[in-house]
Amino acid sequence: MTYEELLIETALADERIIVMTAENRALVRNVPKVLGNRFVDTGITEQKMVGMAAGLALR
Amino acid sequence: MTNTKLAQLQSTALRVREHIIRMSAGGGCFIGASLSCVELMVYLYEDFLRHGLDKGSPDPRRDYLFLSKGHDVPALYGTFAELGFLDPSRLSNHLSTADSIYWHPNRAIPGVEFHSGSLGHLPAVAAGVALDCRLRGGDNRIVVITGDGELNEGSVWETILVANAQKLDNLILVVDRNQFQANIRTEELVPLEPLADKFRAFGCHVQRIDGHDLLQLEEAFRELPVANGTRGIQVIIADTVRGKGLPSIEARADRWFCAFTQAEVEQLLQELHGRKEVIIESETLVVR
Repeated sequence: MTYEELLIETALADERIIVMTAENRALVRNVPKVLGNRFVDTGITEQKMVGMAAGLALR
Repeated sequence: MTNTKLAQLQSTALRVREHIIRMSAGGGCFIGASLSCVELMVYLYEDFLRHGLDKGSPDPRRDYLFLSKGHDVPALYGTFAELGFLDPSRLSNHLSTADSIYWHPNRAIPGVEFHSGSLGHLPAVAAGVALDCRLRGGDNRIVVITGDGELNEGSVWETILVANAQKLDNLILVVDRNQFQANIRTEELVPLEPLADKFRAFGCHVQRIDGHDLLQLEEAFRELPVANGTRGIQVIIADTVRGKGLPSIEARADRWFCAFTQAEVEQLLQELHGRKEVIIESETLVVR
């Protein structure tokens, strides 16, 4: 099983999971069409992405 | 806002300032940055935020406030104490590790949504919460307060870029524009002006107001459009005075963190109430 397959399987099993990338899509190129708005590409902003992930996990 | 309501908020703001001044004894606090955002705190908690702090357990439909400039926590806790959300007797523990009120905002205090103090982080956290609210379909409003010196941090501008790309118009970024970073005027170190133009160039909707004028605060927050995911984030630049309320320390670079003696605190309380002129000049009060 590839990383991407495991990621999709895990995310589909738990709707609380949101997948984020700082525009590093090569290994997750099939995730957007499977997860829709639960896939968030923040652009090349790793520093901010970590904070945003903390906010998404907060509630 | 009725005249009665205005007088009530002004009275609350005065008592919050008293709390802040008292917290500058027994080891000190970031008094200047705390005094500059008192009206902002009082207005938000008394009139704008649907915080539900008076209703016990947190409601996921509530509005969120993130205090990214965590140094001004005496203003936050002073406001909580005045509104009955925090036992005022705990305020004097602010430099005691035995109480979670210690030093900077702490989630162990009801009403604090996230730890802060290290600058530049909570705009991103607030953007994450704003996105979460959007995904779940809530009409929550998310307010994040930053300092102006904090705008040195690249993570703030990363957040603005991405939040605008995501059209997080439920996110309101308020800048306490008191003109100072820790030890120096912003314009002497890393100039920010023209600040409104910078935010607009990033795609934000910007208002600039007198942050000590409760009526202007009300107008600015009431004018915010209903968030519907079609716009960039809302920015309110609140022009303020560091140390507001105490002319002897107002707008001074050396009055960032102050550790006053009890006798000086009594003098400053007199000054706050306009009863006499007090000039505090001791260099030993300054921590750099």
